[in-house]
Amino acid sequence: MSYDIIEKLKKEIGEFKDETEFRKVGVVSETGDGIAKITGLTEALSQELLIIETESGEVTALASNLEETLIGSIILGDSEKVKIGDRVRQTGRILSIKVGEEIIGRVVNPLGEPIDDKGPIFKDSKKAADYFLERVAPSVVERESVKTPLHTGVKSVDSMIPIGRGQRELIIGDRQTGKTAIALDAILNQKNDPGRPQVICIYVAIGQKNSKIARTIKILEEADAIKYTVVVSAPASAPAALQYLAPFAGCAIGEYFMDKGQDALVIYDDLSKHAQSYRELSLLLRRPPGREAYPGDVFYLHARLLERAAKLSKEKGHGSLTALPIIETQLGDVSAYIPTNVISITDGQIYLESNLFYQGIRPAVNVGLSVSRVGSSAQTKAMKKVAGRLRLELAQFRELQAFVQFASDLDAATKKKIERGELLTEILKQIDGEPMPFEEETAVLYAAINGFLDEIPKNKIKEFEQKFLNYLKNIDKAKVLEEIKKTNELNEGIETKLKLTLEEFKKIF
Amino acid sequence: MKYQPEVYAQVLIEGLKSKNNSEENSFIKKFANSIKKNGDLPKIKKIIEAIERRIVKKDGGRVIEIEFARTVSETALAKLTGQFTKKDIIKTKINEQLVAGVRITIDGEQELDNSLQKKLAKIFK
Repeated sequence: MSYDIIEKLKKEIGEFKDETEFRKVGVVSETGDGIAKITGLTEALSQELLIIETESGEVTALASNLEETLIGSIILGDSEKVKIGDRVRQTGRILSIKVGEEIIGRVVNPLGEPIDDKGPIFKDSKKAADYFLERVAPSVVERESVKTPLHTGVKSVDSMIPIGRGQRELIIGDRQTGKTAIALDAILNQKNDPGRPQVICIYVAIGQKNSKIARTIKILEEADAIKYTVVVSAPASAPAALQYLAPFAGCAIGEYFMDKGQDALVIYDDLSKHAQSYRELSLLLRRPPGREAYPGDVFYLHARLLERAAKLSKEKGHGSLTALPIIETQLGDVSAYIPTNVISITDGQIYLESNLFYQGIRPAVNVGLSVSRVGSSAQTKAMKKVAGRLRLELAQFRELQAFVQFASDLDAATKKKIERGELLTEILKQIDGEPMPFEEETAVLYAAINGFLDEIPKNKIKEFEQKFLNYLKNIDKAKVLEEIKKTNELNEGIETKLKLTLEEFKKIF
Repeated sequence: MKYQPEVYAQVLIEGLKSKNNSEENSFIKKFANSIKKNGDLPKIKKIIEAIERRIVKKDGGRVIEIEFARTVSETALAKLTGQFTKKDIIKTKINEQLVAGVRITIDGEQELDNSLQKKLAKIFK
């Protein structure tokens, strides 16, 4: 036995050939806080992967600052292993992540390594493609207009701030206003839209508490939404380098599906913490600080990330990547540096307000300040028909809202408008984690807009909604919901059927 | 460190170009004072190395660092150093981590690693 082993070892050593030759090297001259300064390697490229040969193995680093005399690099592995004097070599590669169908349903870190204890992601590495974390966004000719809806299942969003596949819609608001809840509802709702291609969802958690990420994964698993979702996790305990890379990794995963002609949705939760991690790295790399100590290229950082969301042309396979970045404001200050940057980059914003949240209006969407710049062209005809009047009536209600306390002194028309506004506000309320298919949203909003709920007391509206939907799903013989779902329209025929159904239901309610 | 050693080296070399012999001493004195003033005295060794590298480079030479796993005989060393020109600066160092063999680094950028440490690492890769 031992003889065999020795013979095998001898054979292996005998076959070992090592021709010594000159190679280009660098030397670590400073290290600390996840950063290494390297001398030498004068031909290193920006964003190139470098290998630091430490005593206890190789550690990867990312060349970030190319200076005259040294390279400032971000250590991606265990930074405590790196010591002054360690040799560094170039790889000629830039940072990439392995992506394939098998990544769906997994939780990975920004380097694409699994962190869900479910074993290796790819059984056959040939099935995985390498996607660069940094990639140039599709050009103008490679794109086409956003025209397919991406239903979030949130009534106020789908009706008044519609999102299209390929759009970038910002979710902005203070802490604890339900930003993540809207994003999660959007993921959960993707199984409620069977008439359109399945959307692959990527949830990127940046700088969040591990407990919150675990809770999010549990919600996805319980709702069976994990089977079309990928979670990229860079929690608060992860080094700033990983938090900085996380959204780019999520975007690269989304691009893989987009390039295959599929539709993908990526949620960056949140870009405020991403900007903070980039600020930390930049300051450690001694880049000059600018406004709020952020580096000068923080706008470019988010612009180049969000520009990669696109609806590709027919020639490019018709795929799409929708981005829902989240920004957390401090005391409702949307004029801070990062919020204004991201507002100007995206195609609209869903603005959530703490005041509304505490008034019990949940989701706490401020309809007046929220906007979707391209989504309306992607809205279904059915939704468009109800949404136009909804927006108008709510706008009128907002103008008159100040007079609510003098309700008794108002004329009948104004009083009616206020009542209608209150009713609409009530009907737009929705519980977290219960997204609604768009045909149900359409039917409920149609009922509210057309006065079918006018005599119903405010405290009974939720009950009416639930029972009406049950009636439509289980008892309605006209099958109105199915027709709306099939045609995406609310034509005269369907509208008449819906009216009749509503009248029938009101008799038994 | 306020300035990189390379920056100090460049300042000294460029500054000395325009100075005559009598001015040289006071210039070097002022240069040393500025290092002290900037709080960069602990890095003086690195600054001197950078100055040395620049001077050698200017004269067309290279800085050669030869690392041995253990002390070598005079003849072996002479044989090895004989491979380089007189313009080159040759520094030798004992590095036990190499296990056996020799590692040569030129200008801190190019390396010829003929150590057993590297070969073992390659076998077990």
